[in-house]
Amino acid sequence: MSTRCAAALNAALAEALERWDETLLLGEDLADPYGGAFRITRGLSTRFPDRVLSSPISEAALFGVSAGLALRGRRPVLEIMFGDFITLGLDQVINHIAKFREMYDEQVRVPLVVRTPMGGRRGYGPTHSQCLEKLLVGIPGLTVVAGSEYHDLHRLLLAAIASDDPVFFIENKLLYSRFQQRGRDGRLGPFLWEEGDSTYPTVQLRAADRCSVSVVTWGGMAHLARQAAEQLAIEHETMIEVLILSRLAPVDLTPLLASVRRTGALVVAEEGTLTGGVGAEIVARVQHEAFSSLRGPARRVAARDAVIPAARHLEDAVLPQVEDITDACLAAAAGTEH
Amino acid sequence: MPRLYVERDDANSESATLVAWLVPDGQTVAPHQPVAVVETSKATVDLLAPASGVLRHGVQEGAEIDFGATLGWVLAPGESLPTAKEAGRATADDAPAPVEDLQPTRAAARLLEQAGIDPAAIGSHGFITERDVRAYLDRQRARTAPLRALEGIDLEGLSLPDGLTDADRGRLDPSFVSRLRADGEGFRHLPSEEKIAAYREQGAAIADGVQLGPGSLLIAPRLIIGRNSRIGPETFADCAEQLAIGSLSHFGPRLELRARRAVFGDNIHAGRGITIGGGGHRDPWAVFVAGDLTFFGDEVFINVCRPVLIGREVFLTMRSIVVTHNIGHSPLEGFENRFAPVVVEDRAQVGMGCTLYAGVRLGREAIVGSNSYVLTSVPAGKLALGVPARVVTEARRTISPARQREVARTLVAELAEWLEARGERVERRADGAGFRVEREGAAYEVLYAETRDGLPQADPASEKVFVLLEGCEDPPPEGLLLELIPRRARGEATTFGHSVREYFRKRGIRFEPGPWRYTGGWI
Amino acid sequence: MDWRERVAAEGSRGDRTGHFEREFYRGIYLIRRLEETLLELFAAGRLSGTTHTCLGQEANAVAVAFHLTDADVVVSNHRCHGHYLARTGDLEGLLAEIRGLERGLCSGKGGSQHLCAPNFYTNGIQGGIVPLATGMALAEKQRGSGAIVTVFIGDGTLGQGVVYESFNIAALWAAPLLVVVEANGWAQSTPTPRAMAGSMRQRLEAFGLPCGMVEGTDALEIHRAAGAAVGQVRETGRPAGLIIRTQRLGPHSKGDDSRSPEELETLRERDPLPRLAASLDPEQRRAIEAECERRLAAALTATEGPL
Repeated sequence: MSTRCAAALNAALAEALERWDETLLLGEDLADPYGGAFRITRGLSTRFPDRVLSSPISEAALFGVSAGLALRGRRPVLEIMFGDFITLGLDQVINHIAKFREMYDEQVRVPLVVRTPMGGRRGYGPTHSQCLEKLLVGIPGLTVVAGSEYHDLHRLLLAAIASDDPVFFIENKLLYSRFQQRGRDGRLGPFLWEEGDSTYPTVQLRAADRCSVSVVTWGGMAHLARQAAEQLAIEHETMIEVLILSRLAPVDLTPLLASVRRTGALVVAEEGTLTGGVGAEIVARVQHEAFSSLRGPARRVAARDAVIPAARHLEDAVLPQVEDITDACLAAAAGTEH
Repeated sequence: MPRLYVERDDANSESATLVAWLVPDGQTVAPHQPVAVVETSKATVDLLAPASGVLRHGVQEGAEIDFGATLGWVLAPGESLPTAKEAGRATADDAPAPVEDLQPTRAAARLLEQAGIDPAAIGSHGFITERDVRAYLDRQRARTAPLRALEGIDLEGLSLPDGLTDADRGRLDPSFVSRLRADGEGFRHLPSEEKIAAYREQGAAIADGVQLGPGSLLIAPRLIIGRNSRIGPETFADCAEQLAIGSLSHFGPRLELRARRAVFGDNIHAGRGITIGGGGHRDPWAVFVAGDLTFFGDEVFINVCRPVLIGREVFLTMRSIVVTHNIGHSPLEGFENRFAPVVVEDRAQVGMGCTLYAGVRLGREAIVGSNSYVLTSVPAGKLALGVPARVVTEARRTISPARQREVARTLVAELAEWLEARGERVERRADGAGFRVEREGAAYEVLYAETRDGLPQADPASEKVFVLLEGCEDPPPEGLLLELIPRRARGEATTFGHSVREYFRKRGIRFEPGPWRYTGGWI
Repeated sequence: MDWRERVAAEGSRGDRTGHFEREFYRGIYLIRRLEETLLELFAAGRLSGTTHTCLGQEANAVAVAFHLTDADVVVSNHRCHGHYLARTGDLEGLLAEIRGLERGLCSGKGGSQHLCAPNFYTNGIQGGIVPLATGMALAEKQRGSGAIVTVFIGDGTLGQGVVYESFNIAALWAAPLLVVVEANGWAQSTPTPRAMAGSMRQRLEAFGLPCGMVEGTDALEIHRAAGAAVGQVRETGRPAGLIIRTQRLGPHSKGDDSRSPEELETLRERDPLPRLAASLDPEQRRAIEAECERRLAAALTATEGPL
């Protein structure tokens, strides 16, 4: 039986609570019967009443409380109901959580996981639809993970909870109802499938042995990139490699660099807004490491630098779509200037 | 028909869970009767029957259901379950939509349809591109290409090797082939195993046990060599398209081979200093084929600018010459200028120093006497002699059963003599049905009879070879059985058994199944 | 040996007359001299970066620290030298950290505002330490360690919203947390009346944190109030507050004091140190001071380092 991503995450939380007594879940509306705004903690407060805490609406304090718990030997998992709300706690993230280990010269560790859904395409409007990972990846001391249905989310979340350092675990909202997509025997559907063996692996979907573009993406965009890969193959016979990162910071671009050296072209696809996006950082690093392998300029697919409208047709116009990826790939494959 | 479904109750959830069916499948329900328990994000709710009728379950307990998707139906009298397709929509939610492992691109799909090809013929996974389909079609064409070069040639009477139609295997990296062609000197002096490893790495299909003699160099975009074949030293082969050699074939030193395609079957025996090629070896028709068990004597010369097709079990003995064209003055001045294939059908024999002229065909089991000059074809089963060669008689005499029995007995008796002459202790049976040899405390027996019933009692302790004139239905439970007239070998052969088989082979009796090669022993 | 241990040791020798006051004085005096020295070093260009001294507020730290056990946790703010010294007596480690030395508390990475030692943490962000301390208190409670967590903030910090979110959570989830507000009347250069409306005490009480209050600057009175507050948290296992009306005699940081000389003179009159000194036998007092000066000199020499 296939597993939906929501169930995989729920199972990981249950396993963490079961295995490690110091695990705690905190966040708004986590307790049953509600079980979290996206039902990821459903059933857990019933099984672990003392360790699943529904909190007041106080994100700023929750980040700090979680940090305090972590500094004193607990293993808190904080759920922030919408990724948009992390801004309320960024002082805690930047000046406390991410600092302690190094600032205190390795005298302490902060085993804290912050889970939060991000992303649009559900018509939630400007303040409940954003992908704000770009605000996090530039904070030294923070691990930023953004899983997708192509990663083993159960394993990924459990690894984050087992980590002794703070991890932001970003979950795209559309992920929850999707099924886990896991390859077997090096294949996933028509794609060649490969997954690194690191804790936070990069998954590769290659349309053929020899592809002409490397597309790197993560989170909710993985789904679109895979669709783009299928369309490009079927409609244009342009074969691409899709690399789905799971850890955005610190980012390991080794598989991507190997891919770019194979394909000679790079497209970065992210759901967050363009300017100052994570993709800018990736492009900068790839061009530094593999400039001579690139046939043309790296291309970026991202949301327009705009507020995400509530109306679906307006939202679609702001957020990156499959066609944006296919267009970028066709241009990159041709190696032409934009 | 009324269907059961869950209404969406909040903005953040996409699905609910079917906790339990309250009414079993197939039971009658009343309107508003609770029939299922569903857990949504907000609460656990009962799902009520929308009408009276027979409840049919659409999904299993524990399944996640998208809002609005069908869980089941309430059938009115006379209604039946929806079609599988409709039902599938309801249950598809238990698992992700299936993904096709094999997906032709749009262009490929068009081409496949035009050509009437099943995508599964091209692969089992991945995207099939137009190029893949074209390559497949090319391969299909390539498979028949040699036969196209052979167009107009009657292939009756010829057993040609499989390698001729094997268009897929052994494809080498083209840059490697060009490098070999440009500068193969260093490569040809590598040890055999290094050369073979390099060929294999570049794509050649070379089986185990193959040896490439010192100083040998093979150049071909597709290279296939069967197991345990040996290529002698200082061999040079350059084929524009393909070189294929079957299993257990042996080539003596200094073979020189040039053709577009050269395909040898299994169990070929080729002597030393053989030249295949000559002028026009790059012609599109420059195809050379030799069937299984064919023998090439020393210094045979074969010119290939038109097909040279040699069948199975053919003997082309020492210094034979085969030409597919002549050389001379203008045909407009009335001189002969001829380009034509040469065909030697199965089991034909060419004596020493013969010349087969362009366009000649030797029929099945035809024989050409030594030093003949063959200008016209020789029909099957005829013996031709002379310069120019003329049919003089039948290639084989009619042999009576009595004579067959006599020959067989003589062959067995001569084997005994042969072994005795080699210094073995041979003890002949009093009934004439074979003999026994003792060597280093072990006993060996050759037991001869005309039929299975006539076989004498064997020594249980000896290693046995049974020789029967006729075939039989029930071979003895142990030892090697050699049936002379059907030319069939059965059972397990030991060194002694192989030696007896080799004795008969030297006398023209080649047993099936092959390929087989004698690797030494008593003889 | 920190001053609590000295009090205990002297007590056991039976000579209890004035010993508590002497040790209290020793604690305050050492902090005072360190802070003065730091300002001198800055003035002389021998320290880089920044520092926030607690001149005039030393008694608060010494008084609270007296009532804590080793297992208790202290979380402090940018003005943390006094809290650290009162808690640990580790003059050399602190000085080394401020001077950026490898053997500083945090190898020089933290500096003046970011100290860490067993059960002791400080950070330079206003307000952020309150939820942190709340979480720590919850952790101690969950672990059943019996320890309480004390967080030091100033009256200026009461302008941060997260403080109240934390009071709410601490009360809601019963965190053994003591919030000590050192109300020195100034938020950097802004007088508290211009930065805070309503009642300071009611701000805590509104969340159900019982709140002690020390209006005067008498060291012994502070000591008693601290004892009561610590005792309350320990007994109830729930959060409580203690507001100490104190005075900052030095600048907010260094050389950035915009207050008038007259005003500073008024504040100096409320300085608990001279009053405590006056209550001691002059000879004993001089001996304490001399010892503190020796320790300070030794620590300075030991941390001369690459300045």
